[in-house]
Amino acid sequence: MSETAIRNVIVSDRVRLARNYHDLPFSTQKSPENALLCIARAREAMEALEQEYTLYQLNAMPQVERMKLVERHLISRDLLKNADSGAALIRTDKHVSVMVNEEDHLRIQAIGDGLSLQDTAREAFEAEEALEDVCTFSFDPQLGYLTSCPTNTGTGMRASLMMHLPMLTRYKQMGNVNQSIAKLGLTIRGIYGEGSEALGDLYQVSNQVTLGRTEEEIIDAVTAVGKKMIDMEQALRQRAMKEKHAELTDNIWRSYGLLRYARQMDEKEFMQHWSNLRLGTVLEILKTPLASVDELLTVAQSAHAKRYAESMGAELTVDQARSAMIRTTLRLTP
Amino acid sequence: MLCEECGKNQATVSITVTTGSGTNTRRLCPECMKKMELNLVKGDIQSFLSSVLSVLGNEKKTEEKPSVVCTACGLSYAEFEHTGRLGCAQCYRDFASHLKPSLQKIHGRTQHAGRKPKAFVPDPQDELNQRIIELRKQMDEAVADENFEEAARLRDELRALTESQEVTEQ
Repeated sequence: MSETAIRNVIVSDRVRLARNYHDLPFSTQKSPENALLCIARAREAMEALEQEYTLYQLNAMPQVERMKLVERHLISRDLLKNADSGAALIRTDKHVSVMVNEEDHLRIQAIGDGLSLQDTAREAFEAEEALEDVCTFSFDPQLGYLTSCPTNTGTGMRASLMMHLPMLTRYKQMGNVNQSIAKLGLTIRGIYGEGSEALGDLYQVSNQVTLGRTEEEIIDAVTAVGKKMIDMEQALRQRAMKEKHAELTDNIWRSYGLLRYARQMDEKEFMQHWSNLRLGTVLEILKTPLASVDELLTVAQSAHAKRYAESMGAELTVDQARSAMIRTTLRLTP
Repeated sequence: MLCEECGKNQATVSITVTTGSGTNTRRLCPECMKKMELNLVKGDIQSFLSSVLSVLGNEKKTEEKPSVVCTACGLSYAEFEHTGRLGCAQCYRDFASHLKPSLQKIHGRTQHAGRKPKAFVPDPQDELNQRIIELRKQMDEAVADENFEEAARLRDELRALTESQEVTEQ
């Protein structure tokens, strides 16, 4: 499969590993001492690695800064619920993060930019091995890595692809896709994980089953489904270009116009037009670079927009700041 | 997670029923969901409700379960059922008999395959059992392929292993 076909549909890939220290109860909510111990151990471990990691302790950060980490997918929304004890060690290049005191003591996460789950997993394992050098993980020969929730037991691994599927959505194929991938032990949901809406036609495909399959088997299954979905989405895009060319291009240019000239825009509306912007870019109707389009997905989210407004010293609402941010990005590109 | 109705297909739909005694959620596969919906379409509200409300039956079963408590962290099985979160590694051992069916339902398997901690020293007995399972599988495959020569070789290897296992047990 060509690199272009992959980039046209896949926004990013991710691997996360759930691990717990063998000598502490899973939840650190009621024990600040244990929570601090988890952070100290993780910090010591990551210091041994060549690449630099920065420690973010949520209780020392303003809410807007925490949200920025969520918007970059470096921490989960669940970690925010444990803001008193939650922390994250984030690699300087932002490709690897280790969440501490989430549902499990450690959630090691690596992010890649395509269909390279194998390489992304390697990055996560490197961090895992460093953590293992200073501690012992909770492990059972029959059940594998023991986790707070039995849905993660075994490998503790979740391999996922963030996919942009506007045509599968518009041709109402997502229900069918959902059913067929469920049979393979995989699942599909909105971008912010369980229960979240598929804003911007963005979906996260990941394995549901973590026990009884090796990490390689899980990665192979997710990759195979990813490839299949790329083919389906690409075929529908070509079909739409033939059958509904006028309507499709009109929609794309309308969205571009709104993004380029609107003065305020809420998140939902932004995501809807962003989907058309990305589609227009990969169909070569628009000339905006794909990297800028994908970056916009992060920087035009609420917390980033709020920070941007503050940095400009202007009295803007979040929705106004979001529009300003989008306009600047699109003005700087053709 | 497997469908709570047929236990065969992956569950993709969930139905939440709120009754006087609380809220219950059932996870079903599209086929079982369809069957239930069909009851509703046919106007057979009674059987629709009874199929969905078999959660009430589950409730009773839960009450009948002996109240197991983790010997390390003190979490009760009932609390786990409520939150879906286990308290510590010992919970897995103390709740083993209850958890196994759940793990089977969620993952379809109950034997870990995959990475092990660097410091993990496998129990030689476990290793031996694993090897025996593997050899049996290979032998069955050889027989299925009518490769009898290979099957006989595997049989001899298996025999030697089982004998050595019996010696160890004595």
